Amino acid sequence: MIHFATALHCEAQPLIEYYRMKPSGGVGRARFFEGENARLAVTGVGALAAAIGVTALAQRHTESGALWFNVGICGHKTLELGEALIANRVSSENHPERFFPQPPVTSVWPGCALHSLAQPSAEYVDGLAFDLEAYGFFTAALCSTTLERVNSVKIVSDNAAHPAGERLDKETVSRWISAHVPDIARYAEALQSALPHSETSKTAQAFRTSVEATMRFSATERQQLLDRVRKLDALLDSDAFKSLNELLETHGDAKSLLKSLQDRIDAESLRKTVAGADV
Amino acid sequence: MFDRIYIEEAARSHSRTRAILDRFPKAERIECERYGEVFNPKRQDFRAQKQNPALILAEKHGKRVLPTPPDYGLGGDRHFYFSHMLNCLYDCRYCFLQGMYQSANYILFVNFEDFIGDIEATVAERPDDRSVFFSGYDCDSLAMEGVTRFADAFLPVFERLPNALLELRTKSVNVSTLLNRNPIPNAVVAYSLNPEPVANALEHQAPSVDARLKAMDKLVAAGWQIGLRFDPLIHFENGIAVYEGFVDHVMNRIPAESIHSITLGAFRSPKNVFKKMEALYPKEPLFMGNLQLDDRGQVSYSEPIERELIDRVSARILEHSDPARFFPCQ
Ligand code: SF4
Repeated sequence: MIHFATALHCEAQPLIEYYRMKPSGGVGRARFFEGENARLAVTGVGALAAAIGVTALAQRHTESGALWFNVGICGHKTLELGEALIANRVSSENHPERFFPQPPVTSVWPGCALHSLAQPSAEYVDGLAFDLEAYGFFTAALCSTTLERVNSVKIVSDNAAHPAGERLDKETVSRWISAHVPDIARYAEALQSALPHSETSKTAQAFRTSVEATMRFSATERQQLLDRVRKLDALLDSDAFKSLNELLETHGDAKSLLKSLQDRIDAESLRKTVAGADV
Repeated sequence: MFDRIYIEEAARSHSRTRAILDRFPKAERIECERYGEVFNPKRQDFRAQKQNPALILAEKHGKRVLPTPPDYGLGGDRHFYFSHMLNCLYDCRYCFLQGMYQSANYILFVNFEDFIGDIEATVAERPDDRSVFFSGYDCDSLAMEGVTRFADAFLPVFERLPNALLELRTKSVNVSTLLNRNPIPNAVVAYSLNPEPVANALEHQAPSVDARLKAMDKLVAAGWQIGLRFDPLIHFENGIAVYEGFVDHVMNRIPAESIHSITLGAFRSPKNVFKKMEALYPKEPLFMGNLQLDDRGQVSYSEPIERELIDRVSARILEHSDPARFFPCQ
């Protein structure tokens, strides 16, 4: 799943179309959109609005492993209008901490340090891009994920030759962003396949549910059950895993069942340590 | 080799920084104030970063040469370690580095001259002592030689310090720096070795065991002293017989007079490091069974398993080696 955040609806529109998203409500000023593979928050302008919108989106959808993209416009001294960059350092004039995104794959855009300001500015600095939201976006997104999964892709909307303050129409912004959406989608796919994700199988989830319905577990034992089921899920194929259901007939209490599960883990891991490594 | 190179402010004008940047003109350069800004933040995923680590060029301040833990030695009077680099090119599943650091990026401390000054000062404190310096504690000593030129810089220093011994701990076959110069008697090229099934399953990205043995042959022929590090021993089905055969294979191949020292130890890890490794690789069988938390806060194989592994492999080593060269359970 990809979670996008944009400040303005005109920045969001090309993404909404590409990922076939539909409106899905809102919180405060933030408006949400949702499709099969992507969700989006139009947060409003500024770091605080970005942080609030991202936090609200993260709280609605707590699954781990989502990618986060802040897509929007920025200023840069020398890059041409409409060119894209990806932030490799994100800073703010109001906070000393800086963020260094850690993408596991390379993108097609040049990396650039991005500085979030409180107000648009026409004072440009070599090698630095300026925006209004990225710092707030990173601050909020990093509450629910890691630096490998958070990205800020910015399209240059003003530069020294065309400084901020010149009139910018919504159609132009949408057109600029639209030109980069296929690259954003390709990059997101590459990230998704590079990033590790592990899920417990449905068989294992069903086993745990039926065990918990059959026996009483203390809080510690419940944690042990979760841990052991996870391990056996990784060690056994689905037929072998299903055969664990027989244990429910032969074991009447949590303690003895947990011991049998651990014995099975010991035996299987001994066999699989040099044959089933997690690469 | 690197898409991104982070450059710490203090290291920016160092000649080694400039030389490395010149060698990687295409890498994106990102400036940071302190390396900790990039390396230490909590919200990082070591496993994801391991797929495309960046290089961080920094300066090491504070203590650079440290005493080793008490049970970590090679029979010297004093034992120290130093880390010119943090993290490793390879990706051994049992490696403690993955549970130690938030980031899989490589840090190279470019101020070699400060490390060298500290090593010289440490030796000068007690010049008659035999002082051993381990260099591959937080990295592989030779794997990144092409980038770091570490051995190239440090071997001449130890050549001037005959009472000190340098251990280069490695799995690398990148030994041209050593073959291109005369060997020195007070350096040992210590190879970490596990039998092929273990290496194939757990030592990702590392050279094959066979390639390591071939590199060792070359070093022996050139006159270098070799260390054999059967560490960590891994418990697996029929593992002891495999280890015994492997010890025979290695020790029949490397001439006894070229073997400086042999060490071995079973897989073990501090609890907090183990927990992080397990969380990174939740499907890794190595982290699943036959382990216990011992009374020193270490996760290790249960006592009878560890005892049998250590005893049987030690016995086989001693069939080939002088006990004076053998340092078990490091
Ligand atoms: S070679 Fe050594 S330092 Fe490198 S990953 Fe393997 S165990 Fe860790």
